[in-house]
Amino acid sequence: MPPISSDALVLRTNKLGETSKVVVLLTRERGKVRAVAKGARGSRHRYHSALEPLSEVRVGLYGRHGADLYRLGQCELIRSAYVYGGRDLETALTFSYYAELLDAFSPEGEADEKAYRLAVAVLQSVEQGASSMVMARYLEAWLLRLHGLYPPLDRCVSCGSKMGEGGREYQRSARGFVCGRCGVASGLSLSAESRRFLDQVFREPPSALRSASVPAEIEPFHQELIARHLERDLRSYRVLRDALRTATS
Amino acid sequence: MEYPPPIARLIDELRRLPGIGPKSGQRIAFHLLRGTKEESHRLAALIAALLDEVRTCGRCNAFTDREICRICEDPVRTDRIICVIEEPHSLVTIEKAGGFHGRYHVLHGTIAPLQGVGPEQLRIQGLLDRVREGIVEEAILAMSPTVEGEATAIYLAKILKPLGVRVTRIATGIPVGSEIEWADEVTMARALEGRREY
Ligand SMILES: [Zn+2]
Ligand SMILES: [Zn+2]
Repeated sequence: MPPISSDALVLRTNKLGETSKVVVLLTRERGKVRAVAKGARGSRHRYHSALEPLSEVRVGLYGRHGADLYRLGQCELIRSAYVYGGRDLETALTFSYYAELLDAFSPEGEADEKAYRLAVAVLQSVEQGASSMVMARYLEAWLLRLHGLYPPLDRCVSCGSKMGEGGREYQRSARGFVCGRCGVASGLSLSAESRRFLDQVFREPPSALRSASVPAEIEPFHQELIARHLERDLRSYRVLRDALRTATS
Repeated sequence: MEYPPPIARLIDELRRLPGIGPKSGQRIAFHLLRGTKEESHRLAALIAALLDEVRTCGRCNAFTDREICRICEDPVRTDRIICVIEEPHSLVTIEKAGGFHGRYHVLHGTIAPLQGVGPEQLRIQGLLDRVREGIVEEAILAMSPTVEGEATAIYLAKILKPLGVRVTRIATGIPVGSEIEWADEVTMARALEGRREY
């Protein structure tokens, strides 16, 4: 049987025995899949840096459709995470965070072309010099939105009236932004600057935000939405925050 | 067929060791059964003593049977260069290669965000203390050329440089004895970057 070939992003790998790895891939055609990469470890290993998290690769997968575990055949490197992910500390650590985020938001075996294209576009922007932190907020916003978890920014969640310029008040119980008539914020307030940033995120491709800066309050807001959905914290996020804090103090 | 409990229990334990499956577990168990009592007592005693006798060096964190390891106490080696490594077994590899006459510092891991391992879980504080003593002039970062190894190296460079120490990273390139056409693009690019006068 010929292999299934697909573009993919490496999300993570686990050691398997002395010489192999199990690779979790986000493929364009089949969504998230697992595959055994024989000979991926040891002194003469086959795949070199192609299996580093967030490397973009073209893979050949052996196994029947919908298999629990494929076998990885050829794995050709399209974009190396090692090269541009190792640019600076922030980028290196943020890459792990992107990978864990994509992993957490991708159910196994369900193709999601939009999420795949989003991830690749974000990585491309980082490669072209965008801040990995701005792109982290971009990726979070869109993953949340693609899963129907991002509260609408333009209308009051309670009365449906259109909300204009200015900031936004978030109400936790209603899981959305409310207008001045519908009550007070019980969660975070986002400034007008934050709303403008988010408007831009949802209107423009990631490359347009290459030189943008992100208001600080967006990060905890997104973390709240993510934690509520996943019902857990992401490990890489904690490591990212700890490492950046201790590296600059 | 079921094994008598003492054999079955041993196979079960052996299987938990790295690289040993049920087949190898059986082979080892039967090998021991064919041997003498002295042999298996000797092996058992060595295993039992391992965690009692081996500890990590109070200075460099390498495995040792003393308070301070032989390398740290070796008067012929220089204190001016520290080679920072991920795991104790890297030390053996570097020592075998010869040519390095400084001291070591073992981190016992790398920053691995996906496993939840951050700088706090690594033995970094001891390294900073050693550098602050003022004798170290150069820290060689000998982490693997992986994204995690790279993140760890960048992190260490960031916190070591302000202490006034020279920070270097081991070179990456084409493995000796291999052929250039089998090198991947990333390795090749690094090898070109790291070229030297000839
Ligand atoms: Zn309202
Ligand atoms: Zn020592």
